[in-house]
Amino acid sequence: MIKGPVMNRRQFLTSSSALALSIGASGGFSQQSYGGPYLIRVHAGGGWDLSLYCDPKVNQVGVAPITNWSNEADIEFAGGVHLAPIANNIDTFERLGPRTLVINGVDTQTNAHQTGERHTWTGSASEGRPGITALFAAAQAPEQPLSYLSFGGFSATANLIRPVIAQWDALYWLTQPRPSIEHELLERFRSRGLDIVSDREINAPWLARRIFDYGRGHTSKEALSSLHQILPRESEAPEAVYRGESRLKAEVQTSLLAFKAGISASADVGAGGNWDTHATGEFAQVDYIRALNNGLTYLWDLAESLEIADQLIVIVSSDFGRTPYYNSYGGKDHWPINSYLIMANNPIWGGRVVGHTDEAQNASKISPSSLKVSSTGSIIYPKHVHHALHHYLGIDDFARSVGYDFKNTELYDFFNPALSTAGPLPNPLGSNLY
Amino acid sequence: MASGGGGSMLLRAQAALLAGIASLSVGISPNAFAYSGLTGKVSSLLCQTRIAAAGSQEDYARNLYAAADPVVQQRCIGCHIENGIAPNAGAKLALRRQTAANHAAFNHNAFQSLAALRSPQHILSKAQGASHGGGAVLGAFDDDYQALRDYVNALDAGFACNAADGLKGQASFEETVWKGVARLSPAETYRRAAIVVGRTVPSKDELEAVESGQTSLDEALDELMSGPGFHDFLITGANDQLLTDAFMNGLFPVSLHSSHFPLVGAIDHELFKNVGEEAFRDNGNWELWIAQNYGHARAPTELIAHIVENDLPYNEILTADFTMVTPLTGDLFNSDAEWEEEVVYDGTFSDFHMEFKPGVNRGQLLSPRPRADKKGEECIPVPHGECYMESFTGRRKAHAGVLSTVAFLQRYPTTETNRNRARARWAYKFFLGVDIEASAARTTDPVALADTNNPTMYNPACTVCHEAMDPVAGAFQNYDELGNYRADFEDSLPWIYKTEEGSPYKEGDTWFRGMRSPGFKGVVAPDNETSLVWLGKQMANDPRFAIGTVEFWWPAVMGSAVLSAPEDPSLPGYSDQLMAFNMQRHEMGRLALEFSQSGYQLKSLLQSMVLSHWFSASAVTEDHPYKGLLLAAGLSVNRLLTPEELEAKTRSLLGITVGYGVSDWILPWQYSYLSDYRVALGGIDSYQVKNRARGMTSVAAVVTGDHAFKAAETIAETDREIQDGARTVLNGVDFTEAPVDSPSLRNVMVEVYLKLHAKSYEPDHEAIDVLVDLLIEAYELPEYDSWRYIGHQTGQEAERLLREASERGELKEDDRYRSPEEYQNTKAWRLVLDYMLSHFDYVHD
Repeated sequence: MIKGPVMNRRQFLTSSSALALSIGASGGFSQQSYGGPYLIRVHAGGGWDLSLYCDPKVNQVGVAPITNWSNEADIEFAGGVHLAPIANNIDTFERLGPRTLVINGVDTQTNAHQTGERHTWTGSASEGRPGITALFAAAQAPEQPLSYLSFGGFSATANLIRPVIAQWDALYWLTQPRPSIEHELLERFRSRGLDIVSDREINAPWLARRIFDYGRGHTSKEALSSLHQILPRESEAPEAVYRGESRLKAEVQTSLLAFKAGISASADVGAGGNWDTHATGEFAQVDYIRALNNGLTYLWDLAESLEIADQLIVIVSSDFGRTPYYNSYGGKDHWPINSYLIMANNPIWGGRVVGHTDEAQNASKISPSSLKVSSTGSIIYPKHVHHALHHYLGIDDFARSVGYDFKNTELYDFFNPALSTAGPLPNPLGSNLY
Repeated sequence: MASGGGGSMLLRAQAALLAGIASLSVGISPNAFAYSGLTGKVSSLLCQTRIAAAGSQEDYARNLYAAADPVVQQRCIGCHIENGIAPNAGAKLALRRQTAANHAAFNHNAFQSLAALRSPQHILSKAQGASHGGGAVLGAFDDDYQALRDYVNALDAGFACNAADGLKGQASFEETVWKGVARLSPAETYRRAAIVVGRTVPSKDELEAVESGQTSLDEALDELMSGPGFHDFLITGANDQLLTDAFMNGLFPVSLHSSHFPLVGAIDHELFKNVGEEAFRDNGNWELWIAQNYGHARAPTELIAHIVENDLPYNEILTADFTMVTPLTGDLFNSDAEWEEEVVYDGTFSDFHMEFKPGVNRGQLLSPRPRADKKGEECIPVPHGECYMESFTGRRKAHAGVLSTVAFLQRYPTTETNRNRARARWAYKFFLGVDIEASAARTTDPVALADTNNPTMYNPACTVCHEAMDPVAGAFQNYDELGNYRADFEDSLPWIYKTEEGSPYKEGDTWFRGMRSPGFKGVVAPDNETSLVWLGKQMANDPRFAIGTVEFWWPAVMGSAVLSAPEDPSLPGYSDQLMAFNMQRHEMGRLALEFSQSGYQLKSLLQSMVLSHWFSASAVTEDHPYKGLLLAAGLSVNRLLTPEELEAKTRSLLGITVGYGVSDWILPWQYSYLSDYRVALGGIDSYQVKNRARGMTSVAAVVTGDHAFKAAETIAETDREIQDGARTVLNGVDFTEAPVDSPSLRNVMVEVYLKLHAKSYEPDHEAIDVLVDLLIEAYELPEYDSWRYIGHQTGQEAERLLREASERGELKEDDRYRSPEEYQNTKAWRLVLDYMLSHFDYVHD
């Protein structure tokens, strides 16, 4: 090893460093459980067709059809949300609408899946930023053993926190309690051993994170048993969807139970199915939407029964949207305009739709202060949604401290219950419901 | 629970972490890197000579622009043309096509203005994707990038050649960075390489031979690259990229149907004849299908392994005119592979059915056959719906290495609208290191996406990707979504395309009209029938194949993903990340060059990677100026081992596999504790979880802890029964006496560290204190802690160790009296081993 002047490691404990915050004030494992708030991200992987969901569109005279359903029906309104009257949309949002803020007309500026996913969930099309759930977990409960739970999808962390990949069939066994005097003895000696490693590797700065993760992994693992006590041996059964299955309910179940156990702050779950429906027509999207709605209903039912609903925020979105016309195979290709559903337990800002797209699903400029369509406003980009979310979730200070805030970005007043954007235009082919 | 000691431990780790973080803030400016870094050698004496010859700095730059102009025209002009997408979106760079008058002067002035306004590095960063609406359009090691870099660096007098550049012996930036970095010794490098590449831990003698120079490091590394451990490394590393093991982990198994592979039906019929209707109904043909699936799923990775292990040029993975078959898939393919046993279809399967050999595919019908439901004709029904032909002579179909394997084609299937583009995208990514989706210009204008006038052909926002992608997609023209060659016997075009009203399809077409012709890099494939074979040869001989191969194998060797170019200069650590990225690209370029010079010998490349600083850098000087860069680089030494590596390490050091068993579920699958819980320890299932997680988490700590506990239990209990000197680890231990701190005990601990952690400590080192204290304290604990006896048992492995020791005559007498002290010592040593096997230094390497 190269000899150099011995570094006084402890002086760094009192220094201010952005990433120091990311590893938590305690630096290690907190014996206190985490009581919320909690954040769940639901991703519809592949690009969802919003004209079938929360940004419903009807066919226009002289223009290629945008939706098949609008040949026979008109847009409906449930729980404060305009909806396509397909799948189980109406029943779902009659109940969940008051919990939901819909942000339509968000321009992801891409038709590439990876970029779209990154832009939607980090607020930037560029590499480098953490996803909203990673940032949230790092801000709220970095010391918890399952602080940021993932089920295998996109999880950018900017090295703020390690995601725990929830192995589908193993978590029950791995969280089994081990209240052993042997374990206590081993952990005590392990800490001595790790001190020696830390001293030895002081000149290998790339090992600092690995040593830290190792220490935190071991000191926090005991708390996993609190999840085991409430985790059933059999998870919720998958729901069959077109050419696959949705595990959304099971992933939600594990996530909410981890929240309830006080060992987790955020989770990324997947709306089942391959939403990239270039050639599979509308029926595949309808099938996926049905399963997504079922999963969201299950999520709120379970959150209520676990008595954590008041602490829960849910964000639902996708890579981007799909074209405002069908291709020759009855499917739709990529379209950069996206939407977000933001949900909480009967918030004052629920039952509203903000943002807007025209009849051809082009995003409209929106005033940040009035949320009305305005030629002097801006197109809403994912950064605007994330900027507002940082503010709403109370992690803006943390985001700033670690360098992942959104500087020079307009703050849209999305969560102001008094503001909303105009609804969709009436169906020129059918009755006018509005 | 966390104790005071735990807090101290974390405090130290946190302090070390913060020490690293602090260095981020004392990094250097990107501009400093831009000049003294990769450009240091480029703009040297030659550069000065050129300036002098040109007459002035500006003339020199204009001359240099001429070399960069093709790059600008091909890579930038699509969006940055005057009044184009980029200038209209606010970009400051507006350019002219070469057909415009004075375009060179105009474009040169545009670049010069932007360089003056921002910096040359700003332009280069944009090209690499930083805050660039068009994303990354040039890779740092592309020839195109170098041409652009030479040009823009010459724009700034401060950046162009100064006197120092021409000094003989001037160190490159890379040399400057590595100068302050210590590396593992040859023996330490050999040991790491053995675990990673050879899936073994060298013996003490082997390590000493390397350390003393008796065996050269090159020779030792060469020795590692054979045998089952190396084979496992190749299969695992290749699958980490190709993800074809997904077929065995939840993805619908590889499917061939008798409509195209008549031997599917014939073999099912054979099974039916042998096992009878009852057994057949009892999932007999389903089990056969699953057993066949193994052969299909592993064929691409086994093909790669075969080429490497037989020292064939690695680019044959795209040109090999054969595939790999098991006895079962060999029969399906009517292959020419010969087996030592006769393949019998009686519903039972053994290791024999998991063997692989090279073989060809001549099992597909290449012309229509009689309908199965017509009585008296050749296709005879099999009970579950397939049918078989009494007489079938398959025609041999040329292979294109991995590209034509059924598993590759079904893992990356085509659809009616995708039209083989997924196959093209992944072929580019896996074999040329080109990520089309990530590097393509992003569409910033929704109008471009609304363009319905064949935008992939004509809209610049789309052609930027599709120009490269679509011809390659076309080269896969003969394969349908299941990988059937010419599914309609004339072509594999979608039925709807051929029949829809207004379709441009014409009789004899094999590819879509309105799409680019099958080809590669502007050359049209000469023959529709064998376009994939032709593509394989083109890719195999493409200059990017070498760098693509380095990228392919980098994660398997280094244990970390290939770095991405940072894109947002406003984010923390940007300059360090960009420097690290460029350093890595530079290293990859060097490795690629050596690899191509070796005649594409992958073993040679693996050896070069192991000898790289990136594999063996172990420490830096305290005042190293580029500590932040090294932190961002994520160097390899002491990384968390993958489940496969950890299991191999334990097997090699202790002779056991925790939780080992062989399932009789269809094929004799080997399983273990770590294979069952691999995802929790950062592994992949290739289906739901496709990327390895490289950091320790709470759940991973449980997995490594349980693994250590079971291994420790096995070794402590068996070593107690084995004569001193012949034990796996605990030689010198007296199980009959209560432990006391003594020189002999400390010497035992020194040996334990040496064997399990490869660390050499003096007997009075604090690490030895830890073990001695632990042993003495553990001895006083109650004998048995039932809570810890969970999950997998290692009884079989313990029995095997004892049986083998008995066969060697090394067991103590079995009927001897075992005192309470023996059991207390067994427990105490089990805890010492548990500590050692779950220690940072064991699970990292």
